Amino acid sequence: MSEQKPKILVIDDERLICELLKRYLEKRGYEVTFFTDGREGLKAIEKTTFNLALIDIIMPALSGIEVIKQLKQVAPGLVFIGMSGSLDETGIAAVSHLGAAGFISKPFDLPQLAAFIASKIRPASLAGGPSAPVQNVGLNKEFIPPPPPAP
Amino acid sequence: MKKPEIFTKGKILKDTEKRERALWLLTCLILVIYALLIAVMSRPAVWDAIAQGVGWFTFILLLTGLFVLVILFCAYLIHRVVYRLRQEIIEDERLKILGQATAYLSHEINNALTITQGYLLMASEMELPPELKNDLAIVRDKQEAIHNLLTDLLLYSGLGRSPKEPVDLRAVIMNSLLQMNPLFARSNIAVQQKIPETPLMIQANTNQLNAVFVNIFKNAVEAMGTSVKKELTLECRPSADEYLILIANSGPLIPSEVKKHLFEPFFTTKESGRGTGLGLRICKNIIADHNGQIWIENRPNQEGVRVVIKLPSLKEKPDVGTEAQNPGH
Repeated sequence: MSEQKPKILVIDDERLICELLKRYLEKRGYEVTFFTDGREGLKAIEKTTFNLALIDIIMPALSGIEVIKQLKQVAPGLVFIGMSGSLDETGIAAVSHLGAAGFISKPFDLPQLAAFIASKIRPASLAGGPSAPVQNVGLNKEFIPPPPPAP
Repeated sequence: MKKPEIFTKGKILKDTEKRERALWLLTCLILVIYALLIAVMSRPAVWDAIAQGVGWFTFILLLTGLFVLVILFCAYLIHRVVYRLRQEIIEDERLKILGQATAYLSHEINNALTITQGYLLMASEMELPPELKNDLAIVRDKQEAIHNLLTDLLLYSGLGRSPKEPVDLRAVIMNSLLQMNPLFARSNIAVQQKIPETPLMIQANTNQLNAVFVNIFKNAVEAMGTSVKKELTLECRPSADEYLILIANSGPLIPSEVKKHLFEPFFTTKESGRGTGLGLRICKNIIADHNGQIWIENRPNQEGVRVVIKLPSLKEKPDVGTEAQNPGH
């Protein structure tokens, strides 16, 4: 019996980024579903149980912050990571306060992102083995650790 | 080094400077005339004439001259103050526009870089001829240069600034060193550090200070590129009100002609495409924003350059375990 792959949801208005993440992460044992519109992503969360969500913060129709707020009502336990191409620290802080597992700024380093995802959820190919450590490598110099748990 | 057009003086500034020069020349001219009049007046015969009530017209003329001179001098001083103020406002507005434009552009460009970099990575994982792999490495290198330029522009425009909080300076330095250790190792640089064991609390933004230290370390690595001796020493000297951070490298001395331009925006001695010329300017802006000072000096009697940073210490101890202190402005 084949082990079920961890499901990752990607919401980013840039289709090519979604496709890139899908191709890269699926090679590493995840099942990736993507949406370029936050509203469609939220509908998918209602129907499917995901293990992790990667959400772009700046999107035209429904912002990533709004998506996260609604997502927390639909799937409170879902682990999510914020992504943004802007170095706006207010946005990073907002995502952090909403309980993000992390924030990654674009352009991100794919192996670094994959290592971070692996530390949060276990891909099918790595199940049973040690999870990869998070490393600050590549172009991305910033990585905001998860916020402290709410009192 | 030619600076970009956006950083040269505009027509309004140039006209204002012309008016200021004209006003200054007029003041000088009146001063000369007045001095001549004084010289004439100082002759005893003239005073005798005034005393006899003959030269009242000359006397009043002299007083009027003095009055006009004082008025002109005051106008010049006021103009100077207003001019400086206006220059600051123009600079601030210019940086704001630059910041907003860069923020918009960086979002678009960083998205594009994510895609190109990602596909590039996947391509480089495939079996490719060595020549092509080398070409891809060049593309990746240039992508990094674009990203660095955007980050520098954002920091330079002040848009990357954010609130400060009480932090241990030692932790910031250690994190920056940790981040740079792989580069130090690759470049065969021996790092020595002298950091006190007691916390060095400052009111700061960790990310910004980290950017300062990383920038200085990177500059040091590049400066020592061809040096035989490759040593980097880092020392923290605490005193009652401030902390001195001395970062010295064994690279070549900086010529005085270069030294005086080091903190100017877009000044770089690196080859085209290697540096934005904003690094040290950003460091200066960030340190100034932390009420500190930064300067660079050639080390006396020995080969090498030293960067000195002075930061004010945090007077009150932060309340550990209670609510976070409000960020300073």
